[in-house]
Amino acid sequence: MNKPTASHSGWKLTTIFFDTALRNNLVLVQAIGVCPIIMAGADLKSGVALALCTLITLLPLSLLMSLIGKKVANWLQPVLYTGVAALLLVGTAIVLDKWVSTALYAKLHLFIPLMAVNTIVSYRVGGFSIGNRPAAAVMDALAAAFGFGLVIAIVSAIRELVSTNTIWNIPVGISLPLPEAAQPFAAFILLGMMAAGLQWLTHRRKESDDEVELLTADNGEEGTENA
Amino acid sequence: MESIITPSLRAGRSVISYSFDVLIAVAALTVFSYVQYGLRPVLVVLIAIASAVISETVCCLLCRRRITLGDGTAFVTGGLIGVLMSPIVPIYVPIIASAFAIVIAKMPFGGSGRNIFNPAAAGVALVTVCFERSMSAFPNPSQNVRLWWDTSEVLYQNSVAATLKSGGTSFETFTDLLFGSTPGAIGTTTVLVLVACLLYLRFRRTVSTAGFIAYMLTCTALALLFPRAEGDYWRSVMLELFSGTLLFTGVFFLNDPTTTPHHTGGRVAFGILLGGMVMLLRHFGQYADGACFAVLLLNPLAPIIDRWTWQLHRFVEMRWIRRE
Repeated sequence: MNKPTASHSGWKLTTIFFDTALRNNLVLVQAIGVCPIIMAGADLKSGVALALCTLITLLPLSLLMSLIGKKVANWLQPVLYTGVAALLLVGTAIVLDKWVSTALYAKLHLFIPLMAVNTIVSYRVGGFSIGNRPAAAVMDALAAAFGFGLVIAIVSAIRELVSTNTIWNIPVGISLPLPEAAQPFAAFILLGMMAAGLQWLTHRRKESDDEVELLTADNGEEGTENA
Repeated sequence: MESIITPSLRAGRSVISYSFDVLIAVAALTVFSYVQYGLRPVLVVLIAIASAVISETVCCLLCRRRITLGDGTAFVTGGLIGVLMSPIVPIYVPIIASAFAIVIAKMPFGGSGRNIFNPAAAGVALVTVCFERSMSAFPNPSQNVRLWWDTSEVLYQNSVAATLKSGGTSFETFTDLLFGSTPGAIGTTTVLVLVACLLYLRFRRTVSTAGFIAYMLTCTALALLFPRAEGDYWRSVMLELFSGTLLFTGVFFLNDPTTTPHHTGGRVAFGILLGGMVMLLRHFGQYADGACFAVLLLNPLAPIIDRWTWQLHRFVEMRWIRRE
């Protein structure tokens, strides 16, 4: 299996997407961006809203930094992408408050500005986009938002289902609310379980890959012996 | 009979003997509670043990692994959860606590000897958060009723730790605390029996004296420095040390072979940290007694503390040898 290299320049776009979104999932493997999931990911609406905020921030920012990142001094890069992220998030917050849902904004008003200094932004934009070609940067931003969104959607859906027995504010028919599921510890346990599950899947894949490699290696040896 | 030995225990000690010792201590605490309250505490402890055992069996069957009930750690987890419950706790609370302890806090980490967090502390922490009212209502010990299934006629009372937390005046004397005629959880009120358990476990080499002394000294110092009870300083120290789950934590959770450091130096450091954390949570925490939270917070540090003390030991040894 390919080891991630420093430049990622030779990677295919699909490999980048698969690697960032699933195999090296932001939250479950690299443990970044955990805070919004634990504090705000208590119902599906907030979760999806935060995932969209991540997408809205990351996509233009990655493109911008992959285009002009190399021309900016090293010390100025974090200032630049944090500032642009903050500007984008201010716009998002105003749109959310004025035209989408004031109640949702009231719930998330603390966490949307915090996304600007989130490790997702600094890690993906600062660590990947600068020095990669624009297509790869855009694909990486999409993958990061997708990976983060997938995790926060699963966690927030489960927490909403258990704590209030609704999904997307629609009752599901059972009535056994456990309000403790909205507390942070429940999210930590869920994330831990999901991280363990992902590790298990990766290991199983790796084992099957290794078996294939072993088989081919065996065949090769046999071939040389016969020769 | 083959004895199961894990690397977390000192050479020659089997897990079974450790589990057996702790279960004897738990039984002693339960018997004393039976004398005071009737059969209900026994029922609570047995249900907690049964829930833990069933959870572990189900987990092992689901993962298609060898059933690991034989080492007795599931019984210990259930027993410790049982004696940390109030005698009038609703029956579903110990069931949930034990099941959580095994299914979430123990088995996903690899089962006995590999768990990072103390399963019993995790179970108790969960029900403390989820069923706060059930976990903080204790029967008045002077009421002299025999409790069985129905608990509707019981007079509720706050524990001594809760009175300390709320800043109220408590009238418990040293004798009350010694013989357990104070409101509190099944296994935590009777200081005399807890000390007997401590001595028994020390005699069986399950307890590390250094760690325990460090823990108690830290708690004493903090109680002296920041007294919460009215009256003189020593009354404050007495009430702090002998109320709630402080002493229980020192006897049982502090000496769990899997989730605490193994070297003596590490155990002392762990004891000091745990004492500080327990007193910190008592002063600033949300609950009257945060001992199980303190244990959970410090459990992941145990391997790090162990490594540091080992490195310190090596460093001192090297310097000493060079000087020779």
